[in-house]
Amino acid sequence: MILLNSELHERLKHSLAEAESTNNSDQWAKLLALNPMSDGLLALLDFGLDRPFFNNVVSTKDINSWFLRVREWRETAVLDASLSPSSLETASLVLFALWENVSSTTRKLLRDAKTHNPTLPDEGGVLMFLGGLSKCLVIGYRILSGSPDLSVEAVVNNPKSVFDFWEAADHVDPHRRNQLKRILGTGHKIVVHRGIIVPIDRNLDSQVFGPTIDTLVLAELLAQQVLEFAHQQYSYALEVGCGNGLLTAALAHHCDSLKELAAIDTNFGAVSRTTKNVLSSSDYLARQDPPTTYFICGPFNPSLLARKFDLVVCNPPYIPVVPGVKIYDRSRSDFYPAVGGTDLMRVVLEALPEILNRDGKLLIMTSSLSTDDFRRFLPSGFKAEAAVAGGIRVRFDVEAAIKDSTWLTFLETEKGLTREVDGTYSHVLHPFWVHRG
Amino acid sequence: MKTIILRFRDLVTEAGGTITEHRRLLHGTGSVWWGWWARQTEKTPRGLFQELASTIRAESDVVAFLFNSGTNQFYSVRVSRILAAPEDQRITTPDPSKSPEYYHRAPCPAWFLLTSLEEIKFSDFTFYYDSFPTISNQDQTRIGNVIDRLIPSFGQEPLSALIDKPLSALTDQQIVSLDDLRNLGGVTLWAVRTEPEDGSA
Repeated sequence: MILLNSELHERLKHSLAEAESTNNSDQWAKLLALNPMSDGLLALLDFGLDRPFFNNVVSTKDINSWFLRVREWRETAVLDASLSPSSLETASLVLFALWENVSSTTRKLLRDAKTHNPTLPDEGGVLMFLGGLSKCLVIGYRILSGSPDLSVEAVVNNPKSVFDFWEAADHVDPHRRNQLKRILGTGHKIVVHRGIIVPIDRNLDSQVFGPTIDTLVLAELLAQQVLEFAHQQYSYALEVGCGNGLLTAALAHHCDSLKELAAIDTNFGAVSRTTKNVLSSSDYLARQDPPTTYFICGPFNPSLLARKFDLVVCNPPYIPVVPGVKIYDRSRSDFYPAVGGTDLMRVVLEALPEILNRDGKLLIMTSSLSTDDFRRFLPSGFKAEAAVAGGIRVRFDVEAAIKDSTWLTFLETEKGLTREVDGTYSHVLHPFWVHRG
Repeated sequence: MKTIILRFRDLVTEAGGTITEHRRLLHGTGSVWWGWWARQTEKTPRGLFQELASTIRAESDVVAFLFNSGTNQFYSVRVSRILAAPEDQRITTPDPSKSPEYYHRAPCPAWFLLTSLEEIKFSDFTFYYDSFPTISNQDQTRIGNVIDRLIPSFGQEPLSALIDKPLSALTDQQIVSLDDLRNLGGVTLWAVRTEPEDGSA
């Protein structure tokens, strides 16, 4: 979905090329081991799985089924002591290192999450979104004596909505289909992305929305920004409307020079979930000098924050509502306030002169449904650059709007919501970087 | 018979806890994974493991030995499977349900699936050095350089004559006592040849 060439990505690709020419995978394995966020799969796909180097092991067409049988492959193709050292293919060692990176990161994250979230079940599944968001691995886990045992149950290509996951159930064997349905139907949603884990308990966190594809797109852009411009230091960061906490946790985890981090949301459940997600990372807690972190429950008020930030992230509601409808008067259980209206977008953009440092930047999500509002709200003296050229077309699956025929008609006729031939709806996500122009 | 002796100590359990934990799982599940707690300087002897794996394929398992260098206890085990990480790498237990909990976050270079574990006397067998396969440059390493402290066996013939020779000179020399193993080589795995004292195979 999104592929940018970051310095680390380039180094990984270079190491892959080196492994191909020298028959030595060490450098690649070392880079992966040093950096769990590096996500070697992104480099691997970019490098070219269809090259002869991988012929005997896996091909581009086969990478998904390789993931599905990786546990058995790992033992029979690499670890089995009956294999002579000289018969171990370098390509196998490359993929072995990739899986060790993926699985050891996931195990560690699950252990941390279980420690700080006692309701996390001992058996379930994790949605692991890989770098570039090109794939999501649905990984079943069982925690045995404190240690998670993992198995890949499905691989979803270019995941853009929950429907993509349910459709994946049609393409796996019956045992996996049942596992997948159990994982997707559970009251727990556990998302992993670039070294961050966000467990959502739908019973305890009933007021918390997501993470959905728009949050993940922002999280991926944030990770790539930090990797791409590793020399840039962010001292003060803010998320407005933290929701499930994925982006605040990403700021805390990826920006290692932070002095202060603030997260704000009007929903107490969201602030509570965000706090847990940030503070449950053992790496974060073990830092010599962790940033001062503020978790604020309340409306966004730049005067209250009383400081300027280097980096601000916001995934605001971006679906315009029918004129005259007041969002907060409606008591709905379908996250209506979390998705409807563009008030927060307006407030954040108008506050930019007050909250952004001279070189500071805002990463904000909008939609084709509200880009006119976005342009109107942008204060003078600020420039917006598209973070993803052309945006990302995704299925429109906002239940609150789909159930409301008046709202749906308004979006279709006035705001460009697209009706597809199969009767579903789509729009285009437009993330922007905003800074002083 | 060529096999291995694996060294261990009760570093993360109470005295005797390592064996207790492995026995508990062995009795409960029929087999248990034993992780090789190698020193950082030791290399993984995949070639040797391949030989043992061939024996396992032919005979369904191979006899190996465990040496608790803290308590001087010695054990005989049957190994039905060996998994070894690529060189310089380590892997976590292949199956958390078949390994003691204290292992679960500790990667090891190799794992051995044990189907039996019993304490024996070192003197029940006659052991001979085969090699020190976890030392990278054993052909250039002088025996005298790897003796941790004065070992009585090396103070007299025939071993005293070998002090200035490389480790390979020990091949086929008898291992006189567990003290020899404890104080020689600074390793946690020895390749050995063995004959039972009663002359059986």
